[in-house]
Amino acid sequence: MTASILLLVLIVGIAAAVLPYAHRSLRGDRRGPAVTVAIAAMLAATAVVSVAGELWILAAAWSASTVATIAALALGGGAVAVRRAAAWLLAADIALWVAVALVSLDGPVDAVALLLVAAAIMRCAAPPAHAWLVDSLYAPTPVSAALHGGIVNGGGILVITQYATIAQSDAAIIVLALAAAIAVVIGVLASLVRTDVKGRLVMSTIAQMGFMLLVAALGLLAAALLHLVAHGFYKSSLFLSSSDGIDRRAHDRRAPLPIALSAPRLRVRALAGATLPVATLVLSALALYPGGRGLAELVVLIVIAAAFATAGARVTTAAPRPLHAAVAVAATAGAALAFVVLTSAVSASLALERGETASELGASVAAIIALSAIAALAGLAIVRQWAPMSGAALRLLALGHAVGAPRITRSTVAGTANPRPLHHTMGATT
Amino acid sequence: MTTKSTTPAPASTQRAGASAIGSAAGSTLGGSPATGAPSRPLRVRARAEIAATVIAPYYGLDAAIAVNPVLPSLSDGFAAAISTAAPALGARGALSEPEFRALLDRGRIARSDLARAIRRRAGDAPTRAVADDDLVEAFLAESAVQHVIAHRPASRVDELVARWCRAALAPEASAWPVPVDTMGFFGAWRAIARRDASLPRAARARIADLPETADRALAAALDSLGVEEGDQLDYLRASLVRTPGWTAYVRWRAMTSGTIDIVDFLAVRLGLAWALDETLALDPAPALDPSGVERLIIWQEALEAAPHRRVLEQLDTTATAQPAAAHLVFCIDPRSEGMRRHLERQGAYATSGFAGFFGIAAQVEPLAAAETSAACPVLLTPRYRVSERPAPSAWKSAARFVDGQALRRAVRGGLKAPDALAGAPLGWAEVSGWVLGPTSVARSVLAGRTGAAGRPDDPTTEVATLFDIDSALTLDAQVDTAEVILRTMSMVEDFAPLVVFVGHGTSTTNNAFRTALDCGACGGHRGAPNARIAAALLSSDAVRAGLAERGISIPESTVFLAGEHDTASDDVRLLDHERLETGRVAEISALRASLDRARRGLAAERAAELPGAAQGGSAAASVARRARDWAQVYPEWGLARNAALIIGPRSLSAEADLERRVFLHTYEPQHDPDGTALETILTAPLVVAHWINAQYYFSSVDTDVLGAGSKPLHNLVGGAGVLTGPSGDLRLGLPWQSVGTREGLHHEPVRLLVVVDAPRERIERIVEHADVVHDLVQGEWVLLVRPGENAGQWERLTAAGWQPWMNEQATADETTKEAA
Repeated sequence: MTASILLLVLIVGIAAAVLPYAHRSLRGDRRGPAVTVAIAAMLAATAVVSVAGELWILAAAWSASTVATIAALALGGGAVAVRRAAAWLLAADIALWVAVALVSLDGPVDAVALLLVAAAIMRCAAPPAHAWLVDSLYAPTPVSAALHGGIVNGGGILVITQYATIAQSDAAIIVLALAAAIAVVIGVLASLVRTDVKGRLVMSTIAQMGFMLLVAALGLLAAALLHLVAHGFYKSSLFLSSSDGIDRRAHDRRAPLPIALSAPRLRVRALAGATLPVATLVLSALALYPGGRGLAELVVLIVIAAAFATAGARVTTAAPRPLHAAVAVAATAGAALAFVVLTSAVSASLALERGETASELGASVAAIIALSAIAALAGLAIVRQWAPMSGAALRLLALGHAVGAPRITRSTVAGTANPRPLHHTMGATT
Repeated sequence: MTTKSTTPAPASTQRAGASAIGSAAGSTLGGSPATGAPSRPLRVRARAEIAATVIAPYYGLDAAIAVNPVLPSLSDGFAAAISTAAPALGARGALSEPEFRALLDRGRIARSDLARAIRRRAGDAPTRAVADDDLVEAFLAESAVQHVIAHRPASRVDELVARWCRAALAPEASAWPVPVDTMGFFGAWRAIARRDASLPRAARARIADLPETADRALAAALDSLGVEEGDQLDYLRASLVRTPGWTAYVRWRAMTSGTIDIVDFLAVRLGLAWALDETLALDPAPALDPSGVERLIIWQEALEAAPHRRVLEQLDTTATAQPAAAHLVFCIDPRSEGMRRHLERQGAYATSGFAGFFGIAAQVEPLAAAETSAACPVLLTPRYRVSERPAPSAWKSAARFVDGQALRRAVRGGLKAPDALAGAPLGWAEVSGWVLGPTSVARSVLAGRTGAAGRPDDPTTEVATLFDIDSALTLDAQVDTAEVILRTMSMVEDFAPLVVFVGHGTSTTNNAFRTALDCGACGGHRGAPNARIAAALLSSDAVRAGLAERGISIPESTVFLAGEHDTASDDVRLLDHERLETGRVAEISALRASLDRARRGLAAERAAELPGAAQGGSAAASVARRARDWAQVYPEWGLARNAALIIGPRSLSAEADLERRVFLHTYEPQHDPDGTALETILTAPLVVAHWINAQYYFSSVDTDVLGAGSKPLHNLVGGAGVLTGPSGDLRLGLPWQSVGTREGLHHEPVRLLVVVDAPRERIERIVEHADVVHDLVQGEWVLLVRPGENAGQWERLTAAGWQPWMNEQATADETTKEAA
């Protein structure tokens, strides 16, 4: 399996999930059919981006997907959805086309690499370009699902396929790693503090795309690609089910109160629930993962281990009986094993070499940036857990809630409080 | 107003707006305006409370409640809602004249109805000599009414207030909540905003200078903004209507949790206004002139004439009831009308209507649930708690059930746990994406063809349970409750061998507005628990003995059962019938077969109105499937098109097809000589029906401010409600998909026609005595009619007493036009 086929699986899957959904969920909106067609065009163009062999073909498909995205946003959300989005999306297109032009003119490789990186960063909505993805929330749910499952991946596809060019420039690798690391930290902070479901999803995408770019900057192209595909499925699905929050809350009210366990028992369960899946993950990864064993791989392993540790600890501590807890630990560990087996097999078949940078400098700085990002995330977790009322925590809360909001100055007037993108009146009068 | 200032009129420069205030930017906080001493917090608090009555509380979506958004102005009447109360919120209070004219052009409003409305409003004398057509032409030749809606682009303060409300009014929805629990709404805002790097430095300094308590901060901010005593009420009201959604939600939170009140909210808003030098211009309140209102009411009456006539001309005041094999009591909800009509065609079934909580005003605790819910109308406060317990033989299966629930909760918690740890979601997406991808493809492609339409609060099927009434109520209280139920239902004699209380609820998927489709009489919950409790109460031998002493003897052969009507699939499920003796099995199976035939008939009828539903033979399956489809925005129409409430015996409407547009409350005037039951009906179910009617009305006439907008744009904030997009005001009312389709409005915004089959004096006495009924009837929020002297004649209660109802005759050509 090549990278293109895996990407096509993603795009076809997203299309199969989003297009029927759009057709039915937009039945009440006058522009529903047009929006659905625009979504189809977005995904079709993204499919071409994922299989393009030549850079100029990629750029042409990329621009087609930009046009389709702007159309979907404008039709579904009106001016408020498209204003900031169009600016950033078009800026990325310009960067990409200038890079294409420079390549054909044999221009300086540093410039080409930096332009490609700039295009990728803007497409992936890394700060300061994140505002476009926030405003896209003024468009209907299926547009968001297609954006987060398809369009934003363009940046990742660009970096992965053009890595050989980008890696020739230390500056480009460092800029990529830095922007990606900032996106991870800002996105994680904002998604932790947001209360609105779609806002959380957008912030999480910013972080996820940042993480994917960071992994790519470290040269782990296969891992970046796997992350991109899995996240595309994950995020589009969460958008499509974003109206089930009331039912989730009702589920929790209906369920019995958690059983009160003594502190030592709780600790034992949490420890077992966290360590067994993590140990399974690490050992199976050491045994099966086809790639290297370097610092970059460690960064990826840490975040996946953190996920399994929290999930495992929670499910085991909340399980009603010891037997249930044991089964839960085993199931989580089994999931970790299955995950490693699946991703190792897919990675091995991807025929993506580990990316090598031209000099050690770029690789080392990128690694330091990645470790700093991990340290910053740990810092966030520590402040939240142990110093929630400190000045630092309050500053972080303020920062997190302001991410992506219109800038507050003394003289500007923000967008409308109640935007009326799909304006309905009685049919006969319009 | 008691809060009028005693100080002289302020210097006009102080309220001239940003320019005047901007020059005061450097002045110290709390600097008193030219006229005197700083505002006293207590007085400011009183003004804030009065200002808050500009809008009704909004109940959120965990248990949605339909309200009239301008409920605090109820006593001012319907006309005032159009002229002032709705415009004060920046909303329209009626359809626009172009919309009315389009309805006339399409034939939906008959010209004769318009002429009749003109005559009625203008009085008889000036119009008697004029022909209908001339009257209408003259009316149309006059210039159209212009609605006065202030267009209000959001300001920086609006944006910041909305941002803070989003964070602080649903903290539980965030992994890292703002510390409102410990510091309060205002305190937490002050602590965070003064450290908010996205605010200008000078603004942060001013926020840091604000007093620490909300009422003092509000008073200080008012003074600093230079708002005079006499203007404060208007200023606070103008501030609140900048974000009507959040204001309404804060009002509800103030009513229930008590952890926030309107002063906290206003202190944040005015604190920000002061910090950012943003003042509101105190324009005169927007209002529609009286002639415009009059014109819109003429249009409104012309629109209402046809649906109201359609109800009245089908009613038969001479019919009498027939004996029945089974008697099913449904909720008054218009959706029950369809089920009752289809069921009655299946055999000797009698049905009646009663508020779907069946008189059980209880706090209900489902088996082993973490939380209880108030399963009664919000007008009542539950006075007792009823717990669901396993039946004596079912302890083992109950334990398994509870374990299963806890395990599912643990798994859900586990799947969500990585979201709360910084960085962990990065890895979790990579893991769960491989599962979620194929799942979402299957859900979209199969569109509900597989899987069960589940609800979080589905009753357990594997455990036999009962509701423990004896721990909740003494025997005396049980007998009291049972007697009230039966008397209000007019069910005191001729008991059928089988009586079933049928509650209702809806099974939909991925629907933030699901609870708006549940039973309003059960406080936005499903109706099954209440039906089961009522049936258990009336099955008790001790209660029956007590009732017999009070003159209601229930034959031993009569059994009471519970059921629930799923309004999305029209499935009626019978509950607790296992405990019946085997001799009744045949009866139960016959009833079930009839209910199934009724389901298919009703589903086919409903499918014709649901956008995209299959018609004909597969209609019933299609309707059920839609409830399981995560992309479905039209699982059911809810109470759309509701137009009337009939309070009378079923014989009145037995032969009628009321098209699921009518609330039906059973009332037998001969069993209620002193009017007690009627008073209960007019002060409770009528009020609830009006709230629902008003919510559909206002959500239709102003879909932007009083309606919640299109569903696919919604962004849920915890259980509070939805935003449109990433930020902004909380959306009020019902979503577009509850009132309209791509073609236009499906709901007809008409006021409730209330048909009361009772003597004049009985009705008059209640209208005189009960303020709320008086406001509704004399404020023309509802149109109350009763049968006239002769069959087919009706009379309406107006401010001038009983007037003949003049909507009967539609000429032949108009009938054809309407049909077209």
